[in-house]
Amino acid sequence: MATILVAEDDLHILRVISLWLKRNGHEVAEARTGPEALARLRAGGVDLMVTDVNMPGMTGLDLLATATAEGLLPRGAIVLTSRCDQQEIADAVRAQGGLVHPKPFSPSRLLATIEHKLGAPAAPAAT
Amino acid sequence: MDERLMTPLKERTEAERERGAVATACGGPGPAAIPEAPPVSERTYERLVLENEGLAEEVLRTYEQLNVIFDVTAQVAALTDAQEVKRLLCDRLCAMLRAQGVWCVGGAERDEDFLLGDSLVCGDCPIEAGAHAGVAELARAVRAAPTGRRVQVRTIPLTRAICGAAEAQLMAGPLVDGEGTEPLTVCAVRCKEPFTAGDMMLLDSVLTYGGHVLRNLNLVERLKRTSFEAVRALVNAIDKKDRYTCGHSERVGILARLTGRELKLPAEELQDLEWAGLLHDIGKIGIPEEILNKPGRLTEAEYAIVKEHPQMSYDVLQPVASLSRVLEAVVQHHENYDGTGYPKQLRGDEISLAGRVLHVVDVFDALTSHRSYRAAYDVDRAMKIIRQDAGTKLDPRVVACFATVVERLQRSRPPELEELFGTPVQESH
Repeated sequence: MATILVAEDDLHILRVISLWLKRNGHEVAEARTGPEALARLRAGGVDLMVTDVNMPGMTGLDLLATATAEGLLPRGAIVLTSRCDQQEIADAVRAQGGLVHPKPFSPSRLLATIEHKLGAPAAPAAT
Repeated sequence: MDERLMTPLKERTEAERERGAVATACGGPGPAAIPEAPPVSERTYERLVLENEGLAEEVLRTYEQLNVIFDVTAQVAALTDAQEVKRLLCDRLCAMLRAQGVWCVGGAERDEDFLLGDSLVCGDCPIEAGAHAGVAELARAVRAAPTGRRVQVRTIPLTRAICGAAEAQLMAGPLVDGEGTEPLTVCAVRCKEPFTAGDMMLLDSVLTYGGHVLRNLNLVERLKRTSFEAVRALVNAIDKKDRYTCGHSERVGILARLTGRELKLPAEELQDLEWAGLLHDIGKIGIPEEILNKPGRLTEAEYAIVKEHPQMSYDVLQPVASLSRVLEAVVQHHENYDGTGYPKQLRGDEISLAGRVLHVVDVFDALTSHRSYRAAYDVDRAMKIIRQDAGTKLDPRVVACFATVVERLQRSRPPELEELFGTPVQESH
């Protein structure tokens, strides 16, 4: 079972992503600002991060750059961004080894990308 | 840092419950905006949790639908083929439903035809051999369903008959791709978990949207076909007027397209070439029949009138906006590569590539057709003359490509050219 950190300042989107990932068998940690997310990553045990771009304290891009430099993301990161500014952000994210998903994200695609990054499909959650 | 924000949702909400407070799921824009909620009873708490989950599911479903619509909308402009649209829809459905397979089967009359023709299979769950009857039954059930309940999850025995897997669930719905025709049936197979009401809504909305796209595509296709048929009718009228050139325009159209393909032209230009070929002689409508059908050679004055036909073709077609791309080739189809042709004595690259193609093909078809003053030449003799003219009257590159086309046609050919290549006409010297 993998632990995924979801960094997103919009509470209802954070909850929706959390629910989706948990339902598909993943452990989820949540953060609502960049600094919180970074602290959680530094505390260890996170395999992969799903982050928003615009967050208080630190943008998702700065967070990704710092976390990558510190080697805190063994399985990489997925950056969620709205469609209108996707193009400009995509290059910056790719340069850090991350992947961009547009917002509103496709739940099935997000999951497929996560499972691809984790190497194998995670076991379904016990219900 | 607020420790609360790092704990997983369940533990957190439980901790909050102990404190008698529930964070509002749709709080303000920032992390500071979680208002303190008044204490709630156990029952209210449970209800709120359920409501929250329900809303989250709704959001997930809506996001998924939005993404399919974004995808299809973004790609549909580039997709002009109904089959490609169906494949896109099935691929996306397969991913979003996490299905083992998605099939799109056509509306066949006989059960055994159900998996043939337009059927499309995505994912890695094939339809069982011999499942025709099951698929046909499924399609009938989908068609017979009332409008409000078009998507259905099918009974286990039918599922087994179709996909073999005992534990598989099968969900099916209609894809209405045309007016007045039987809808296609799209079915999804999932083995791991049962389909939910949300999955059914998802399939329904994708099929409704996909149906709109497909119906539009089919309408455009029908309009294109109608205008093409109208042009063919007009061209037939011209060919009928000149008894020596019966079928000439059609053959020039086909041969021009084949030569264009050999020249590696893009699909759009191939279509233009075919239209130019079909229409190049349309100006003959302005030439007196006694000249067109005159037995024996023409006088100089008569020949001068015949030479006006490329410009007349241009004048006839010029008002038709959708044919603007074929005008240049049409007016140039008697221009010679060395500048000795008509009407403008253009030379080399001054003549459009389409014009040069049309000229080679037109000469070939004229040589291989009967004339009032000579019998038709056979293909080999016609090609010999064309090769001799390469570099003078005809563009050598086009001639080389055309020769390849002719060689290929002599081995196998479309039925429309059977007469031309099938029965070599006896020469009369």
